[in-house]
Amino acid sequence: MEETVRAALVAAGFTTDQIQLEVTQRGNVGGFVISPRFAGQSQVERQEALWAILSHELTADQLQHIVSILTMTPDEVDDDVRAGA
Amino acid sequence: MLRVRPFCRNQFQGKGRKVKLSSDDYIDGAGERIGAASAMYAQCRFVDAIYLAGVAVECVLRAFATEETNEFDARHDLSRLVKAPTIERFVGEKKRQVISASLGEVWARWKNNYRYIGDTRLRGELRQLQLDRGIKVMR
Repeated sequence: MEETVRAALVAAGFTTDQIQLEVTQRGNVGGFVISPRFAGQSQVERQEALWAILSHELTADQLQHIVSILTMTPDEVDDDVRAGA
Repeated sequence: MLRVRPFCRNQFQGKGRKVKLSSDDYIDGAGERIGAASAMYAQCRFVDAIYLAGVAVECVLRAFATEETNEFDARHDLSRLVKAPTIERFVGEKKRQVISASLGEVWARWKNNYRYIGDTRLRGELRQLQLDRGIKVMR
């Protein structure tokens, strides 16, 4: 299931190093997509875009096994404070 | 002599005084931290407000993570807590997009280094990240 979700995201244009997924003990999949592509979009817009992609690539049964996929930009997950901010 | 009173319901174990917190402890802590965060926000003390609000979210996530692992990890690392095994404990299929978006909002605003900077620097940082919506203008 993890590889199926990853393949769907790669097909949508994300690179493998932007995708971090894990499988839970219950067999569900969740994780993060960290991509500059999300810059300028609200979190709601990102989620809508992501789930549109997943819904296009995966079956309803497969979609049920996705817990959550957080959508972040590299700047947002970087713990450093910007120089000159 | 100064006597330190243990935090309510904490259990100290053995000579190492290892603190074991229950899920209820974390939920109690979350409620108190979010109240304190609201008070800081009302005073335009945004660094304090963000820190306390982030800890409140961390407490809630830890409440669910604790049920799963019963281990305590002292690091303030939200990315470690928004892992799928924790989230699947409280997110249903209908809410997963909304919760994911909300956790993303929190993660983007809650960085460990923010606790060391002042409000002016924080405002600049959030402005650069386009995350400054809702911050009041101090008079």
